[in-house]
Amino acid sequence: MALLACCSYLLLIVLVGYTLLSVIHPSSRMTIVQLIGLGPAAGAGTMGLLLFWASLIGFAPPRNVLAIVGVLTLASLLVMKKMNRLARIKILATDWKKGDGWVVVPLVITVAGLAMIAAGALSTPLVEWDAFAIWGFKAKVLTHEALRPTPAYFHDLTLSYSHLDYPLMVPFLTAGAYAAMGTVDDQIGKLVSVFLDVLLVPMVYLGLRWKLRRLPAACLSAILAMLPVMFRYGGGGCADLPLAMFYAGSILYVARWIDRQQWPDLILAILFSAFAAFTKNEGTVLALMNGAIILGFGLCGGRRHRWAGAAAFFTGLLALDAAWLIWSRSLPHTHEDYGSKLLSSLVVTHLPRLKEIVPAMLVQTTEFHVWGLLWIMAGVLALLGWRALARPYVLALWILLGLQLMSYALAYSVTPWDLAVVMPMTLDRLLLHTVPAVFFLAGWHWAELETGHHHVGTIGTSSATETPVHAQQTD
Amino acid sequence: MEVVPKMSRVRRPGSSLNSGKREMILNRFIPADGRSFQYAAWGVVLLVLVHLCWLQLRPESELHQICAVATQSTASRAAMMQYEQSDRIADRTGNGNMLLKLAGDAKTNPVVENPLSFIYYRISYALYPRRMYVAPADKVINNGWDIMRIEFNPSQQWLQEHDVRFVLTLDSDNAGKATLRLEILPPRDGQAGMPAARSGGN
Repeated sequence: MALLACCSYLLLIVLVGYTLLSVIHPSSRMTIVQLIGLGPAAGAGTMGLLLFWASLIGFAPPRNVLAIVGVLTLASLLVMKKMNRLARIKILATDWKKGDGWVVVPLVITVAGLAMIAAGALSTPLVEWDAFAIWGFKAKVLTHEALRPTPAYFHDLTLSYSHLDYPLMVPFLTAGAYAAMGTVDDQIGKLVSVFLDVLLVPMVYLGLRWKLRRLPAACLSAILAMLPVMFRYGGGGCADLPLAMFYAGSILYVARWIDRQQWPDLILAILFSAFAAFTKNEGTVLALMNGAIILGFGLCGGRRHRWAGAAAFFTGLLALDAAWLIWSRSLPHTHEDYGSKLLSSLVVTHLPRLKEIVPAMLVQTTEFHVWGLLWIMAGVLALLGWRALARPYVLALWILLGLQLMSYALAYSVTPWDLAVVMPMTLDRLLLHTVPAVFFLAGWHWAELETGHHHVGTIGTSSATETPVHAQQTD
Repeated sequence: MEVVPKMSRVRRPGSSLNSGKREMILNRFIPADGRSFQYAAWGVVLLVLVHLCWLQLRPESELHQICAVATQSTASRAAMMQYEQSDRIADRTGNGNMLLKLAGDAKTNPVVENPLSFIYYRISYALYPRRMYVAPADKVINNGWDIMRIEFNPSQQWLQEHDVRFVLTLDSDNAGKATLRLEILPPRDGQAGMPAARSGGN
């Protein structure tokens, strides 16, 4: 019964996402991968924020809040159906081409990999330390108490180890599942974690398919699904893979905005950036970097609507995350407090530590039992398809990846922990956040090599149509 | 909504690179229309995919670990024992709160720091909304070392005020092996059998 309730809750998330996408891009065509990837990702972020706002008003996630969300979603769907504004489902983005039959092989590998991740996760309760000490603990607190008045937990320094100031997206989504089940069962509740983590694969596939043919995109997605680091953290109950998933959406639509300047892309970029910022503190930095890139390329482009895009991005981001930023302002920080330290002179005085950090990060990328040959493959593909560097969206993504790695290196430089202890423990998880950018870059560079390659529209700008490469170069 | 190319603004692909030193230099090594480079890209990707599949076939792979957990092998059951033990302790405490105390070598033995952290994190999680106390509310606890440093030893009155009904004592032998002992505190006057007030605050 609890399992059924949890599945119903996940179905509600999918419906919320589908509704949201239909609102952002009415009467479009949505492929199956968009339905099972983009829709649930948008739905999960929206549900997390809705539950947070409801809790701020004084409702701990009860079943009736979920019922209200469900009724409103169904009503919206009915209205949009009547107005013929629902996104229509289409099986394939493009026609089946010669050689596409081979896509079955990477598809089987992908499904097998994800099924194993799900099976492994669901066979145990929360066992990862961070999963129960930080994220699971918060989910329990939020299930029992609303955020108004602020629960004593958030000011109890003896629980400082659980990082009282961490964002609440994953805990709220888990608390929603507990509310739907009517009980706190962290083993079944891990379905939410599996759901969020596994979504990374279709999100990356969507980004790859924007520029890449079906078969190579499927092969790269299979590589993602088979990464040992995915097996290690997938479904574990931590927030790193959900952050990577939301970040994948944000950079995909930032790139699309830079490439084509269509407002639905910008809306999705804002939404996914806001979701990322509400998932982990790193997400806030990444969201601001997205905004800076939009602004920077807007300044270079010199067109007024690009400037307006940057202004809209920051306004939207602030509007969605303002409640969290204001509410969390008074929460006690741990001794880590990277936010304050990175804005202080400590960054300068600790710069020499980079001599230790950067090599350790480089060595991590060659840990084959963690990453396989992913990083080497990305480098080789970037070199072979180097012409893609001429495309502004590829350049933007390289800059974003560089900024992300630099910010992580600087965070390590100011950490209060012993680097020799903390880096081996956390580096693979941090680099996991960069995986979407690495895959997109690998795929988009590879696309340059494909003669007469085709670009596939994804929802948010166009329907699932296919247009020749030159038609995309409209800036 | 079909994408309609704005033909007046269409540019040839990659035309922005047709001038410049970078292209001239790199073109010598990587020609624009080199079919061999497409094959090379495919070769690299397939190699990576095969390598990843091979990695998961190794006995120490994540996939094998997942299988071991899913099939409840002896090794995985042993790994889960510490979780189950902590959760059982939390289950036995009914409605009351708990105090964690250190005894003997556990007060100073650095080897205890890791199991102490685990016990505090795990039982605090399992107990919620009840509480496990290890320090006054204004003391920052980030790990087991903080607990050892504070050496919390509250008075009887404090225990009663915080509805503490159980004391979990962590001891360790010379080898650093931690042992746990759960004691039930005698019920305070007039409170025996009464449900605990909702915890969370101090």
